[in-house]
Order: sequence, then structure tokens, then C-alpha cells
Amino acid sequence: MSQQLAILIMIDTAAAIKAGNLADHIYLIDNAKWVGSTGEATANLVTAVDGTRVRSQMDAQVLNWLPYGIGDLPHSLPQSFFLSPAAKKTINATLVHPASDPQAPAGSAAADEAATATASVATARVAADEPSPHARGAQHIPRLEAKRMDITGALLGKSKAKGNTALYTYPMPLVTNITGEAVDKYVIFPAQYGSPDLFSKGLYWSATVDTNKVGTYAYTLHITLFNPYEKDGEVAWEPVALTFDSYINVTNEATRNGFLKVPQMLPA
Amino acid sequence: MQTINIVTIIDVLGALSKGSLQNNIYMVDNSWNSENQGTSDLVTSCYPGQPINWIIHAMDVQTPVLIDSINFLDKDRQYSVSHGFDAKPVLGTAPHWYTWSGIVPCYLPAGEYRYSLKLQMGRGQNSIMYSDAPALNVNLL
Repeated sequence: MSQQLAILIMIDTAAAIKAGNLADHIYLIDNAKWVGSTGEATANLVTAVDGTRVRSQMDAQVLNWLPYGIGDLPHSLPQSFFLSPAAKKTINATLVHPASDPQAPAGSAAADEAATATASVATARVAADEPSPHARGAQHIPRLEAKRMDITGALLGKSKAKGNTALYTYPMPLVTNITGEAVDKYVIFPAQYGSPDLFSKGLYWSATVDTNKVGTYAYTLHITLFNPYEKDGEVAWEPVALTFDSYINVTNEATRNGFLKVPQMLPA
Repeated sequence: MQTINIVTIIDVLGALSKGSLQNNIYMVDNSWNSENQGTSDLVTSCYPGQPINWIIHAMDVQTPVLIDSINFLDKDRQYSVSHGFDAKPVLGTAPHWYTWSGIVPCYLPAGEYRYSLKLQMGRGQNSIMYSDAPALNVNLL
């Protein structure tokens, strides 16, 4: 089996929202350049897939799409970093210390940050969702809110960001669907999967390739960006749905991997 | 002033296999007028006083890569101490989060300032590689 391919989708979120299209603000990079991908780190990536391989399902080429906002915080940060203080408190109260008093100060992180204006607003909202102590056994977990923060990861209070939504760091771009010629012709079979992967909050899009279908095929990435705006004195996120076409090129070259100097069929 | 993110993507498997960063490094930023986006020669447009973050990602999540250091170069591509805006790892606001960050000094004349990225991919021989190609283009306000 050859290496799984990663296709990184780098998006300048703010610029793409302003322009209303992705074409000039998207950079696609894959790790199949040595197989023959072209247009690396441009909007015109054509991902190369060596098509000739031992015919078995184990052998299918796998593609993974990983969207990134260029202005995002590093995705390698722990997921809890992105949670609001109120959400951390909720996790503490419902999962980590389920027996403790919900009114008592929860984690130190939550307690430290609870002083900010954002926190008090968010806390009030979560409190309404919070299960009563009697309902704990039912494992009701309220919706967890993301932290509103600037590009350095610092919590942004309402007063500081007032009138300047540009201060907020944008939520990560989301891939919401993959369609188009390559899907219609059954060349790729995309689906969304869950994993403990750090990217995209544990959800990612992946596809297997029918490598019998030699040729260049287009597919359409459906991407949702989020635009901050102020609503009743609070920041809200307006989803902006955009599409973008990219390509794969399935060849009848024999499968190669890093251990083999020359292309050759792997033993069945 | 808006912080600029300079994001470097490394094809670590490619770089280690070939023993070179050439064709295995891609740099993009979210500045307004940068040149050579998506290449190793990214020239990031910025203003004096503007904060800049350097973020690095490996192409494959199983092959970590880190920025070991960032050094600005003089005309002969030697390490320079004169510019005085060498990036230092600064403590982020969350515990245990260190990021490479710097601020373009306000006294800096406009012009192009080339820097060297020292990258570490795992451990052992040949795990450290350099790229001297990227630069900052400091504009006047």
C-alpha cells in the first residue's frame, strides 16, 4: 500500500471573505510531488496518483483533505485551548468532577479567566444549559462554546473588541462536502470521518481512489468560512459558503514507495 | 496593527529522503501584498511596529517539525546582529504554548530583510536543515 496522501488547503480567510471567492486566496499543497503532482502551493494543484497497483481493497489510494486558515492559531494546540472558560468549567463540572458542587470554582484555568466580560456573558448562557445535579447520571453534556480570542490566543473581552471584529481570530475553515466530476464518475469516494486527529476538531474528509480510472478529473471542494460581525453587542459568526475546483490525475504508472528506487509491483 | 502569520509547511518525508529542503518547503502568509506566496522565497510585506508570528506545520501529522531558530541575515547572508529584531520564543497566554514571534522595530528603514529559518525534524544526523530564502519587506507607514 502506498502512503496516504494529505492535501493541505491553506486559506487566507479574511481575504477570501472580502473577495467573495477562494481562487486568489487558497494554496493547495500535497505530499505527492515526487509522484508528479503539479501546481504545489498554488490554487492550481493537480494531485498525481500512481494507478497501477495490486488489485485489492487494501491497496486503494487514500486522499485526506486538511483545511487550514493562514491566520489561525497552530492546530497542534490542545483542543481544550480553544474552549471558552465557561465550556472548560462545564467539562470540569460534568465530566472531571461530576460529584462536586457546580457552583464551586472549577478548573484553575476557568477560575483565572472568569473575571473577563466575555466569560460572564458566556457563563450565564451555559448555566441555563447546565444539567441539574440530579440529571448527572444521564450524561447530559451541554453545548461547548469556543473561546473568543485574538490571534495570539488571548481571551478577547467585549469591551476590547467592541467595534473591531477584525481583532478576533477566525474559526478554522471547514470542508463541508466534496462533489464534482471525480465523484460523479466514481473515481473518488469521499466521506467525512471522525478521528482523534488534531485537525478540524476531530472531523476530516477523506476519499479512496478507484485507480482503474486513468485520467485527470475535477472535484469541487465546498468550504465554509466564518465572518465575524457584531450583533446586539456580541460577536457572532456568519457562515460564508464558497466552492473551489481542484484536480486529481490518475496515471497508469506503477505504485512506488519510499523504499523502492525504481517503480515496481509490490508482492501480492 | 494586525498580526501577520507566516505559515511554513514542510514535506518532512521528502526533505529527509532527499536530504534537502529544496522543493519541500512552502511558505504562505496573510499579509496584504506579499510576493512569492507558496514558495520558499516568500517576501512578507509588513510595517514597522507590526507583530509577526511564525507557525510551522508538517505535511504529514506523524512527522513533526519545529523551528529551532530564526536569524536575520546581512547582505553577505551572514548572521546579522545589527537589525535587532531576531525572533525569540515568547510565552503565549496559555500554559506551555511557545510560539515564534517578533515585532518589526519602529526605527527600521524600509527595505527587504532576509532571514534564515533553522528547522529541526526529529533527532539525529541531518535532522537540522536551513532555509535562507524568505524575507520581510518593510514598508513605510
